[in-house]
Amino acid sequence: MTKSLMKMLVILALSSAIGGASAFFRGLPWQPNKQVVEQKQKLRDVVGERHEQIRKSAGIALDEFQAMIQRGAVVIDARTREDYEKAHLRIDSEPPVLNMEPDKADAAALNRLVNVSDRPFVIYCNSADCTLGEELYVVLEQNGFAGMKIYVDGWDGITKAKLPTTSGPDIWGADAMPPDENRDEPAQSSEGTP
Amino acid sequence: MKVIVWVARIIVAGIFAFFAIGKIEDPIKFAEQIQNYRMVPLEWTHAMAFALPWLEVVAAALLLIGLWRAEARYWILFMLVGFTLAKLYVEIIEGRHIDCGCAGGILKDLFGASGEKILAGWNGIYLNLFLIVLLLTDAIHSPTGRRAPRISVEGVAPSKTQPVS
Repeated sequence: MTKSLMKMLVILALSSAIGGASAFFRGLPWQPNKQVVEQKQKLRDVVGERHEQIRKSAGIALDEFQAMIQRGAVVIDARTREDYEKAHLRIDSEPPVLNMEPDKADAAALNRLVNVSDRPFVIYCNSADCTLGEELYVVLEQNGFAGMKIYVDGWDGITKAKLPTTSGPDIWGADAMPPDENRDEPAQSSEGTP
Repeated sequence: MKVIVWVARIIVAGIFAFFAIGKIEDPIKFAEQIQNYRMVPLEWTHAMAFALPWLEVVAAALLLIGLWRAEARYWILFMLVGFTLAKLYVEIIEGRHIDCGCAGGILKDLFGASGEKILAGWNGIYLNLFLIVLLLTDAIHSPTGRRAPRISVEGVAPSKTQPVS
C-alpha cells in the first residue's frame, strides 16, 4: 500500500516537473489575473440569468439577419480572434464585419463603435449554443449601447446558408485599437464557405 | 479475455493521451476551463493546467507499457471520477452549462467550432463513465502483480525468514 502510494507520488512529481518546466520555457504566467477572471465570471453569471430574456428580445433568424445587413447594420463577430481571422462573414458596406470578443471589449475596442452608433448592431458567434454573442450584448448594453440583435445560428448558420465569407484580421478603425491589436495585414476575400 | 483487456487499455490510454495534446498545446485555455468550474482557488488553476495534462500522458504511457500499471490505473481512475463528479455538480447542483474542458482545444482544432459541442453538457459525463467501465474491465481481468508462491519440490512454499529454533 505504502509502496503504491510512493509510486503514485513519483508519477505526480514527474508529471508536475515536466509540466512546470514546459511552462517555464514557454514563459507562461503562473498566476491568472484575478480581476480579469472575476470580471469574466460575473459576465457569465449575468448571461446565465438573462439567457432566455436576451434570446427572446434580441435573437433573430437568417431572414432578418440578411435584411438588417441590407439596411446597413453594423455586423459584429463575437468569436475569438483566431476564428475570425480564419474566416468571417463578408459584407460589401463600411464598416466590414468587426471582431469583438466580449472579454476583450475594452474602451479602445468600444470606441470603434461610437462613430457608427447611429446604426443598428447585429452580433453573431459560433452557433445557437454559443454564449459569446450574449456576453457581448451585455457588455455593449453596460456601455450604453442599445437595440443590438443577435443572429442566433451564428457562424454555423452563415456557412449553411453559403453567405460570402472572407479571412484575415480586423483592421477597421485600427487607430482606435491599442498597439498590440494593430494589425497591418490585408484581408483576403473569398466567395462562399471556406 | 486478454484481447478485451488490451482493447480497453488502448482505448483508455489513447483517449487520455489524445485529449492531453490540446491541453498541453494551450494550457492557458485549459486553465480558463478549470476556472469555469469554480472549484479550486484561482491561484492554483495555472499550476493545475500545467501539470494535469502531463499526468494524463504519463499515466496513459505507464498503463500501456506495463510499468507501474496498477498505480497508473489508480491515477486515471482518480482523475476520471474527479472530473465526472465535478461536472455532475456543476450541471445538476449549480445548473450551469460549461465546456467540460475534457479535450482542451483539440476537438475544435480538428472539427472546427462544432467540435466544441461534441463533449458539451452530458456527453462529457457519458464519455467519462464509458472510460471508467473500460478501466475497471482492465483492472478486474489483469493479474494483481503479486507473484504466486513458488512451490518447492516437497510442496512447501520456501520462506525467506526462517524461524530461529
